[in-house]
Amino acid sequence: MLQITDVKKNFGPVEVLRGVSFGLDAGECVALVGDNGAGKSTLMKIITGVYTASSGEVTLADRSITGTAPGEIRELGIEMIYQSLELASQQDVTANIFLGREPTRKIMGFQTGVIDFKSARAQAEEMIEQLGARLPSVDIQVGNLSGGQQQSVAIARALTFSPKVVIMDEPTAALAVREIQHVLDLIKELKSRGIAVILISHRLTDVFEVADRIVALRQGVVIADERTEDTTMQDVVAHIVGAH
Amino acid sequence: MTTANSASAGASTKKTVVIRNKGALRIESLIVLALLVVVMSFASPFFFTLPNIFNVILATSTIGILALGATFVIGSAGIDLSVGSLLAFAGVVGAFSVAALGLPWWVAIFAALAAGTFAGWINGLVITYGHVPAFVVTLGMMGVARGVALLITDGQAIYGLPEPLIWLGQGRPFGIPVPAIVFLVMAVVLHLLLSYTRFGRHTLIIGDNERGARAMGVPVRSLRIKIYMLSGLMAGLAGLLTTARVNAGDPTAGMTFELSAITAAIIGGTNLFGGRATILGTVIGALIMGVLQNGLNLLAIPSFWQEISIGVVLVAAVWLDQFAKRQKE
Amino acid sequence: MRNFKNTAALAALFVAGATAVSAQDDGLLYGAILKTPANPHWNAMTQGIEDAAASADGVEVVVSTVANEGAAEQQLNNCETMLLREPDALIVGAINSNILLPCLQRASEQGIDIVDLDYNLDREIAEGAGVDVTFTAGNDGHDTGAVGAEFVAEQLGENPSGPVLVIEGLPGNPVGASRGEGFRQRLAEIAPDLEVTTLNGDWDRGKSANIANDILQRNPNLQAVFAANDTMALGATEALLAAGRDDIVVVGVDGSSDAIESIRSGRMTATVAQFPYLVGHRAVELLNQINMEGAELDSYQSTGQSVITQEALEEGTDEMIQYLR
Repeated sequence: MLQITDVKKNFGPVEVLRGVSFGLDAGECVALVGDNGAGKSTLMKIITGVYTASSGEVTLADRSITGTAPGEIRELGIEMIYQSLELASQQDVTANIFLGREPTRKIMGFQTGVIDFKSARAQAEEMIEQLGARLPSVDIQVGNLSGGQQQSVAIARALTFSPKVVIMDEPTAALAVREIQHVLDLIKELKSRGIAVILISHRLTDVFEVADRIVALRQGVVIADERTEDTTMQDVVAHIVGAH
Repeated sequence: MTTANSASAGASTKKTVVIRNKGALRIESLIVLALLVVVMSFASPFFFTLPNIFNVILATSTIGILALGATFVIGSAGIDLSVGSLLAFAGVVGAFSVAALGLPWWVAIFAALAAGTFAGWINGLVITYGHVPAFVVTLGMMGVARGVALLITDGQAIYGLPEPLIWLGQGRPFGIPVPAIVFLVMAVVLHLLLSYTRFGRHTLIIGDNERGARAMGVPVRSLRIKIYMLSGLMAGLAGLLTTARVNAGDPTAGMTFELSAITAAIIGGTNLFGGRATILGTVIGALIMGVLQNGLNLLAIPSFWQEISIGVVLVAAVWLDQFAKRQKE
Repeated sequence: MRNFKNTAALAALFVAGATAVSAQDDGLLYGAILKTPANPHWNAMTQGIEDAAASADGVEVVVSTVANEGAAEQQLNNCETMLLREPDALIVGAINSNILLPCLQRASEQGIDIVDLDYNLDREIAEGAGVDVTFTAGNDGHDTGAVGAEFVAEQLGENPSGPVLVIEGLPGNPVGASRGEGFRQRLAEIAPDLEVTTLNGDWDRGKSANIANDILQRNPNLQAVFAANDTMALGATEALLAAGRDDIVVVGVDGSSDAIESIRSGRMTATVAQFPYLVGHRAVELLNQINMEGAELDSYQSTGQSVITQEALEEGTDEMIQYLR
C-alpha cells in the first residue's frame, strides 16, 4: 500500500534522515518507535507532503507521491492526526472536520466556492455519531471542548473521507485511561476495514496491543523492523536507546 | 457513551436559519452603537433624520471600505499598515491618468483599482515568499506608496476631474450619496465572501492556526497574497471615491487612515491575533466612529473630543469582550 | 578622556572644513531651515528664496527641509548642522514655536541674523529664550482672517445674518487659530448678526468635506465657509456642491494652484492668496539690504495678500496674480 524507499532529508548540514525504507500493507498497523530526534516526525511530514525529501521516494499503491502538495496527498488518501491536533480553535466542529475540504454548492450549474453548510453539518454529525464521540454539538467552537473531545474532532477529520492510510502521532499521550482504550479500539476497527495505520507512540503497551509490525528508528535510520509477535518489549526498548 | 452521542439527533431538528459565524459577532458593539444613536438623537435634533443618516454613512464610507479589507487581513492574523498611503497613491494614479495623461474617465477607475491591487500583490509576495513580517512589509509600503504619490504629483494635489468621475464621489441617486451605496454594497459582497465561501473560511483558519491549515492542504501562500490584494483593492476603491468626492487626487490624503481602519475592525469584534472576524461587526465599528464624529460636529464640539471618545470606545470594546469571556469561563 | 579628545579633534576638523569653504568666497551664506517640500506652500517659498539668491551677486543659499509637517526633531537637527556652516543668516520656517529655540539661541549669540517666515515663531517665547529675531516676513494670521471676513461680509450684502462655518487646522496650531480668530473678530465688527461655528479640519480635505456636510445638516441656511487653508476650503466646496448648494460662499487661504483652478471654474468662491513665493523672495532681498547696505528694517515685514476671485482672475488686473504659484 504505502512504500518508503531510501528517504533522506537534511536541513542544511544536519542530516535528519539517512536513508529510511519500510512499507505497510492495507489493514496493517505499523508502529514507528524511536527516541526524540530519531527522525519520526520529519519522516511523517515527508509522507504528508509538508516537507519534501532530499532524496528517495514515497509511493502509494505503486504511484509516486514524492513532492506532492499536502492537499493532494490528502486527496490521495493519506491522513495524519497530529499530536498537536492542528485544529482551528475559533471555528466550530463542522468547520474543523471539513478543514481544507469544504463541500461546495453548484449555483445555476456552476461550481462555486460557496460552502454547502447543510451537507457539511449533516455529515459531521454522522461522523461524530459513528465515532461515538461525546460532543455537546457540532456547532460548538472547538476551543471550548476538552482535550479528549478535541482529539475526537481531529480523528473525525482524518476519517471522514475514507482514507487508505492514517498516521497517528502520539494519539494517546494526552488522554485519560478510558479514552486510551477507545483510541486503541478505533485503530483495530480501522485495520478491520482495510485501512493501513502508522502509529507513532512512546507507550509500548499500546504498541504491542495494536501493531502488527514495529519499526524502530534511530539517528535517521531504521535499525529494526520486526513482527510484533517475534519481539519483546525489552528488545524494542534496547533498539530505541541503542543498547544492543 | 450514555448521555453523549448527542451531536446528532437533538441538534438537527432545531433552527432552520443559521447565521454563519454568529459566535464571532460582538453584541457589545451593537449596544454601543445603539446607545450612541439614542444619545445623539437627544443631543441634536438634526441627528436622527434620513439625510443625516446618509450623511453619516457617506462620512464613514472611506474608513469603512478600508476596514472591510482590514477585516480579512486581521482575520488572517496579518496586518496592513499601507492602506492609508495606498488610498492616496491610488487616488493620485486615477487623477493623474485623466488630468495629466488625458485618458478617458473609465480608465481612471481601472487605474486606481489596479494601483491598489498591485501594491497589495507586492505586499503579499514579499510577506509570503520573502518571509518578511507583514508589519514590516506594509510599514515599508506605507512609505513607498506615499512617496510615489508625492513624486507623481510633485507634492501638489491634482485638481479637476471629468464629470462622470465626480459623480462617483458627489452623485446622489435617490438622495443617497454614491460612496455610501458603494460602501454598503461592498459590505454585503464581502460579508458573503467571508462567511459563506471557502476563501473566507480559510482566511479565518489561517489566522487561527496557519501550520494546521497548511498541513490540511490549505494553500496558505496564495491565500495570503489574495488577502493582501483584496486589502489593496479596497484601498484603491476608497482612494477612487475620496478623490472623486473632493475632486482632486491629493497625495497627502488618508494619513493615519490605516489606524482608523484597524480601529473600526477591532471595535467590531475582529480578533487582533486572527481567527475571528465578521463584516457586520466591522461595519458597526466603522459606524460607531462615524456617528461619534458626525454627532460631535453637529454639536460643534472640538475635535480633541472625537479622538478621545474613539480611543475610549476602542479600549472599552475590547475590555468588554475580555470581561464577557472571563465571565463565561 | 581619549574619546573626548578625538571628538574634539573631529569637531575642530569640521569647523575648519566649514570655514575653509566659506573662506573661499567672500559672499553671503544664508541657511534656510524649512518644512516639507511636499507642501506646495513651502515648495513655492523655497523657489522664491532660491530665485532671489540666484539673482543677487555673491549670495548663496543652502536649503534644508524635513520629511513631513510633524518632523520637529529632524528640523532641530537640520538647524544644528546648518550652524556648522557658519551662515550669515538663518531663514526659518519653524514647525512649532519651541523646537528650534536652543539652536536659534546659539545663532543669536554668534550674531547670526534670524528671519522668521510666516509668523511661525512666537516672538514673546523667542525673546524669553534669548533668541533675537531680526524680522518676520509674511502675513499675520489675524490680518489674513480679517481680510477673509471683509470679503465674506461684502459678498453677503447689507446686514447679513445666518450661520457661518470656520474651519481651522490641527487643534493647537497657531497659524490656523490666528486666521480663525482674525476672521471672527473682524466679522463681529462688520456683520454682527452672523453666527459663527468653528471646527478643526486638521488641514485635511476629506475631513473638511465631512464637516461641511455635517454643518449643512444642522444649518441648512449656511451662508459662508471660511477655511484656514485652501485644501480644507476645497474639501468643503466639493461637499457643498455635492449637496447641491452652489449658493454658499467658500473662502480659503493660500492661493494654491488647485484652489486657483477651482475658483477659475466657478466652484470655490475665493482665496486670500499669501504668495509664498513672494515671502521667500522678500526675505532674501531684505537680508541683502541689511547685509550689503546696512539697512535698518522694521521687525515685521508684510509681504502682501490679496483676495483672488473668479472675476479677478478673468480681468487679470491685480498685479499680484503674477506671483501665484
